Amino acid sequence: MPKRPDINLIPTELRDQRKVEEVRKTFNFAGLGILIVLAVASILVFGYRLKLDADLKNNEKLVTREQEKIRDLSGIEQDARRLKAKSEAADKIFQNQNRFSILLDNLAESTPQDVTVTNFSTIEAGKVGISGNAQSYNSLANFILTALDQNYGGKIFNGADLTSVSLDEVTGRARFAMVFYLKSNVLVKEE
Amino acid sequence: MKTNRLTNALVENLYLAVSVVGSLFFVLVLLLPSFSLIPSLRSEIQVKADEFKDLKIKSSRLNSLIANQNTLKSLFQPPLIFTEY
Repeated sequence: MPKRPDINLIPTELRDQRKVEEVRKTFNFAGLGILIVLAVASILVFGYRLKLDADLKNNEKLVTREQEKIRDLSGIEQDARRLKAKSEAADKIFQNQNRFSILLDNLAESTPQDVTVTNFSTIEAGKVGISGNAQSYNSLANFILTALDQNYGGKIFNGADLTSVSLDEVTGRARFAMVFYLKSNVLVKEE
Repeated sequence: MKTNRLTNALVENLYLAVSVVGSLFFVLVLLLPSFSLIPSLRSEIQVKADEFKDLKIKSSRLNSLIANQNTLKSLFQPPLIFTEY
């Protein structure tokens, strides 16, 4: 039996209509896809912009706060600058005027490590009262000898009186009080 | 008759119409303005950050000055001994 060719029963008009329908569906899906992509991109970019806005506001706040802090410190800054000027002036004075330190330098040179001076005062012009404690009586004797040695304290001291010595039973150290006599014209009284 | 045909076309292509309108909305209202603002915002942030950095440096200098002030104050305590010498 001979094979008969297929007979196309669908009318051409209907076939065209289906094609149009398919094209329309494709466009619709493509449009929706583009919409979704644009929506996501827009939201991301907009979110980034909001973040930048927030960062800017935050930076402005920080700047304002820092400016306020600095404004609050302006009075202290002026004080500090005045003090700095005073300090520089004092440095100059101390460099040119060492009378204050002569006595202390000599006493420091004369004081052995095992002797601690706890009090230091002028009794009257030419007399210096010193009290403190020493590791032992020998240390105290060394202190007096060194204080009167011409290479150490003897440059300004010319005599010493030991006013009192006692042994501290708690610490085991010798407590002492003494008077050193200053050489004349070693220290000059400031007017 | 024409209006009817247009309405029919819109209804038939509703998804496409919504997509076009929505896309235009996103592009014109969100995307383009944001894109145009971002560079200026970034430069403003940079300017403020630099300003903040300078202020921080100034503030830390002031703080160290104040810390030194306390040291200076202690230097200017009245001498306790040998004021007359």
